[in-house]
Parts: sequence; C-alpha cells; structure tokens
Amino acid sequence: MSKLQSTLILVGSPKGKKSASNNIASYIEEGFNKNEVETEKVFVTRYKKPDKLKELLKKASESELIVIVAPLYFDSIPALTIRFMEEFSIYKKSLPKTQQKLMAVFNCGFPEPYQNDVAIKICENFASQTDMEWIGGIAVGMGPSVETKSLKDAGMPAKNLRKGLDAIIDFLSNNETVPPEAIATASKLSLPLFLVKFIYAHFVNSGWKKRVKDKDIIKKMYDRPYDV
Amino acid sequence: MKALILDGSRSLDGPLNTITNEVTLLLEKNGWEVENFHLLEENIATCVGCFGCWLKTPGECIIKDKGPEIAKKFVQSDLRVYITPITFGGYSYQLKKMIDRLLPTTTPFFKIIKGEIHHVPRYKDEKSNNQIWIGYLPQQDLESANIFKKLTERNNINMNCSNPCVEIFTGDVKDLDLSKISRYIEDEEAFV
Repeated sequence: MSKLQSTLILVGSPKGKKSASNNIASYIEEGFNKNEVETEKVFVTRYKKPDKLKELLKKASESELIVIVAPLYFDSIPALTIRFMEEFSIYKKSLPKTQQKLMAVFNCGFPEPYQNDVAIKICENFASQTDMEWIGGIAVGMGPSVETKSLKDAGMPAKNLRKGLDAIIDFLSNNETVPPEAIATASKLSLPLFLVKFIYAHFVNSGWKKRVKDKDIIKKMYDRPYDV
Repeated sequence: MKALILDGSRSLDGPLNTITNEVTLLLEKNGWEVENFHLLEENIATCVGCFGCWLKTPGECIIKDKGPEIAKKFVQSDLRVYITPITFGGYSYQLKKMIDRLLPTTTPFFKIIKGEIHHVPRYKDEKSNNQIWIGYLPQQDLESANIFKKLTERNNINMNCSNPCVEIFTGDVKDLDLSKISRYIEDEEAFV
C-alpha cells in the first residue's frame, strides 16, 4: 500500500505557538516525520489577511491529509478556524475533486474530554460537506496539562494521548484505516475522571490566582464592571 | 425591557436579513426595546486567548474595539437573540467572533454545574437569563440541525441559561412562522 504523501497540520489556537494545541501539533508533526511523511504545520492566526488566507486555502487543498488541532472556545471551534472552514468549503467547490482526509484534535480546559464532542461533530460535518474522508476526532480533556510542556515531557497526564496518537500516526502514514479504538485511547483521560473533577473543584481555582501578576487584581477577579 | 440581537449573517441582504427584520418587528410590537448588531459591519477582532479579561482587567476585554461595547449590552439586556446561518452545524464566523469575545462575562474559576466542570458566571442568575437561538439552513439538513441544537444546549449551560428557545428556519422565508418565538416572548413577559 502506498504511503501518505502530504499532511497539513493546522493549529487553530489564537495563542499560536504558546498553546496546548501547538504542543499536540508538534508531537503529531514529529511522528509523521519519523515515518517520512511530509508535513507542514501552519498557524491560522498568521493567515488573517485575505491574500494570506488564499495562500492557506491553496495549501490545504493540496494536502492529502488535513489535521485541525484547536482549543475549545464556547463549546465549539475558535472563530478564525471557522472562517478557514467556511472559506475552504467555497474554495473547494471551484477545484476538481480530489481524495482528501480530515482529522481533528480538540483540547478543552475542562477535565471531561466529551465537552469537545460538538466541535468534533462540526468538523465531521465539514468533512462530509467538503467531500473529505473523515478519519475521526480526538477529544482531549485537561488541556492545560499539555500547555506549558511538550507532549513528550507532559508525563503521565498525557500518556494515553501519546499512545493513541502514536498508533493513529502509524496507521495514517501507511494509508491504513484508523481503528476507532486508537481514537478512543487518545481521547481517554490518563487519570480517573472523578479524581480530576475533584482536583478542579477544590484546587485548580487557586492556580488562577497565582497567575495574576498584579496582586491587587486578585481581589477583583469576581468584579462586575458593568451595571445590571 | 431590552433585547439584544446579534446577527451573524454573511451578507447585508438575503434570508437572514428577512429573519432579523421580522424578529425585530415582533419584539417591538411586544414592547421590547431592541438593539440590533449586524456583526459583519462591526469592527470586532477575534479573541486572542490572552486571558487578560480574567487576569488583568477582570470582566473587561483588553482589545478596544466594538467587542467590549457589545459585551456590556449583552450583560445589560433582558433577552439575547442570536441569528446565524448554520455552518456545518455550528455558528457562522461572524457570530462566533463575537461569542468568543464574551469570555469576560465568565470568571476563570471552576465549579460543578449539572455534574460537569464549568466556569463560574460573572453575572445574573439563570432565571433572568433569556436567550433565543435562531439558525437558518438553505435546505433541509437533519445532521446540521441536530448539531446546532446540541451546540445551543451546551452554550446554554455555559451561559447560565435554563430556559432558552431554539428555532431553525429552512428554505424560503417569505411566510415566516414566528409562533414559537412569539409564545416564548409572551411566556418570558409573564415571568418577568
């Protein structure tokens, strides 16, 4: 069977390089490169201007596989990535039909991976409406656990994500069907959900206060600046 | 009572425009003070994910464009109406760019809501949070309609709204049936 030729990894995070999405995207890129699959990683934030967006649409249309890696914003896809999807569906209609595949990886700040499910369904529907083969969607909970470290260095919290991605990358590199079990493994929290929810409800809030640089702001974090 | 309409259509005319006009008229006829933003025409940047609205200027976005003004009106309205072409089951880019900019209306802190972890809302109790979601599809598309409904369900949890109204219009909008929205507005009036 022939090998996968080209992959576009589209980082949909507005934070660009300093994001959990980029860390996941880098891991995917390294995995493909190890398998000698040509990749290009792009940041959607760098393609805001119309002529730049056209450039991105062309790149996307020429890739055999597109991988969207993005954070969850208000239960869905960040606006700039939606813009790319809207424009790509129009652009693709003007081109001859080609075999393309789409995979999505969403990460959310909440512990429950399934909070990403609607964003993934939108991507699946996007694939269907743009004649792309849908590979599957990986739902990553506890996104912050991979925000400041590479996936390799993120330790136990990212264990299942790495294991699932390794398998998925190998299947895709060889143009083989990705089994749902591999997607499920990558989407499974590496810690028990009840434990993570307990930690979130009782300990993570203090972490936000530690991130405030101006300590006077801490007292204002619940402020309501607008009269109601 | 104040109603805020966020219109996420991609053009200045067409079916979405008809829907917005009809809904505006209906609300005004029922005594609502309506403010309508056609988001395509507004200077609204996309959220940059900096968390400045949580960690630097709590409750206010640090980007000084139309976003903070609309977020303020969002907080101060008694009813929010979202109108959008259904885009692969989700909202259009135009609507989503504004929704993403509503992050300052939540706090960074977490709590368990309906058994799930969510952000603690910054404003309002859920009984006074009234929302109407209106999606438009050029033709019947069950998959997109179902995803849209699911997305509004999820948003209502995160936006602290327990009594929303969701309506999907399809195809020709000449004789728009607004009865569902009409009943909702009447119910909400009785509640208020």
